[in-house]
Amino acid sequence: MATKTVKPASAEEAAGSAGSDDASSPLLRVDGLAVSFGAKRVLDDVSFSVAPGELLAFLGANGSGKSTTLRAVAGLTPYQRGDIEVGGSHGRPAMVFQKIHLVARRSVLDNVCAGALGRMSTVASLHPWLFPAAIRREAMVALDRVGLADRATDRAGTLSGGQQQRVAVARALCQGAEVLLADEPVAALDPQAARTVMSLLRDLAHDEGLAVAAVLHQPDLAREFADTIIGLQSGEIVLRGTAEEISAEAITSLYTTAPIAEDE
Amino acid sequence: MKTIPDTRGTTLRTVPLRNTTSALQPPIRRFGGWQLATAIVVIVLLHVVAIRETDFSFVTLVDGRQGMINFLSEAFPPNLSWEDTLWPGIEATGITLWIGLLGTTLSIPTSALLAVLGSRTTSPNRFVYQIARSIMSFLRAVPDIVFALVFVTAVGLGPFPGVLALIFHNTGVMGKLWSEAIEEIDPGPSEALKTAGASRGQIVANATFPQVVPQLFGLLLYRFDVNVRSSLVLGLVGAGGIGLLINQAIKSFQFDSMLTYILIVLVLIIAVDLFSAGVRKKLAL
Repeated sequence: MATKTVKPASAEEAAGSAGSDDASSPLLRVDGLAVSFGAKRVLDDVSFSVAPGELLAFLGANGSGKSTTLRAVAGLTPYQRGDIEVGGSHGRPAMVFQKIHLVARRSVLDNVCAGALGRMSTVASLHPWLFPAAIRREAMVALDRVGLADRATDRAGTLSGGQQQRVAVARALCQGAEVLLADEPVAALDPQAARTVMSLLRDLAHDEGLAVAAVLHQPDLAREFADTIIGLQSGEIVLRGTAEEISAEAITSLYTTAPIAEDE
Repeated sequence: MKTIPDTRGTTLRTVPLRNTTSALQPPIRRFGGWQLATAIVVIVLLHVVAIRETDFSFVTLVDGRQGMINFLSEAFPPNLSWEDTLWPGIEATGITLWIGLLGTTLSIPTSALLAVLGSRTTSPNRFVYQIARSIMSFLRAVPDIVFALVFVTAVGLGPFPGVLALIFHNTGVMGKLWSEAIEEIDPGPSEALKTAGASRGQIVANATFPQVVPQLFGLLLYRFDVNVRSSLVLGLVGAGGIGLLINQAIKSFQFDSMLTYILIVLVLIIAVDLFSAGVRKKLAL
């Protein structure tokens, strides 16, 4: 996988310089991505880029390849062809999931710190008691950013679904990545919590210069919160544009004319 | 802001409900009659062979009732002499308990290592996985009493070979149970940490282990329970403890002392059972 360092800066520093020198240079660039599961072609020639400060939403029916795209970028699904370039100081995107994937029995703070495991020594990462103080402070900053600093010592499993997803976002922030992938982040949440999480993702892009790519199942949320929308059908991009450019009918056609496919 | 048309109904095509009751009859379940008959014949044949080979006979049991009555009348009342029986019995029961305790706790490191290497979700590769599985299978297949006999010849009579035997056998059993518990946990948190750039060891320490700890502890208590009972049997082959005293009492026809020892064992087993059940219940909450 080719990686390119766009700028060696933390998320906060990127926010300050996002509008200046290389605002047009994307933080995530995917070119000609193709994924097959055995003989079944799942993605074919998918290309897109996400700039700092941009929230990109993927829409499409079940089985259209939205999640596979994100999982390939995150390194969770092997891909046969294509180039993926991830900018930022680590060259590795952070990801939040539909099923949130926190360790329910550990504290909220410990879960957030776990995002920084890649930066910890082996000994320091053995148990939360050994996590470095600097990373615990970073984790508190990230928790404060998602508005849950007061729940730091609670067990993650005691929080509501929406709060848990915000903790997962904080964990992703603690990773220090500038590219944030979100795989159906609000599909399991009630409408109120979904809007809170979507606002958070949009603010992280607009205010702090992160490049955010989210797979969504609700076209109305995509139109309200995303800057750019990509529509996928049978593993190919069939729709692309800003939220203003794309009509409701075009989005509807993604779902109504899609061939019947299995669940992703 | 533009409103989005409600598209939820657009793909629905109405299908006329078939107005025939016959079309909706569930298919008749066909019983494989001859398969069932064959199974019954095979099971009956197996039992005929087994009963013949084990000399299983109710008649023999009823004929031997006098021997049992004699045995019980000699055992009753139990010998409650403090100096001769009660105190030595309690002391030996303590040894049995300590054998079970050490046999369980000292096998934690080996069990944990084999469990991590021997579960599909945490093993570094297939080769290591197969090796770990094979070691656990071997340790499980050799009964603890055979290990005890081997270690008695190596280090002599006494509780020590009993502890060694339990460590070896329990490593195989507890490692297997733990590896299954590890395989059953939700892989999501591990996947999340993998995307965050965590190494395999970091994932085990921060996603796998904290998720599975209650199950591991419950299985540990269960194995402690079993191992205390096993250490009783190990006493019979020279590993000390109350098993040894019961064996000696039978060999010297002191059935009243034997009954006392059995009653002490009963108290121990009930106490360990209540303890482990109580802690496991607490854990489940």
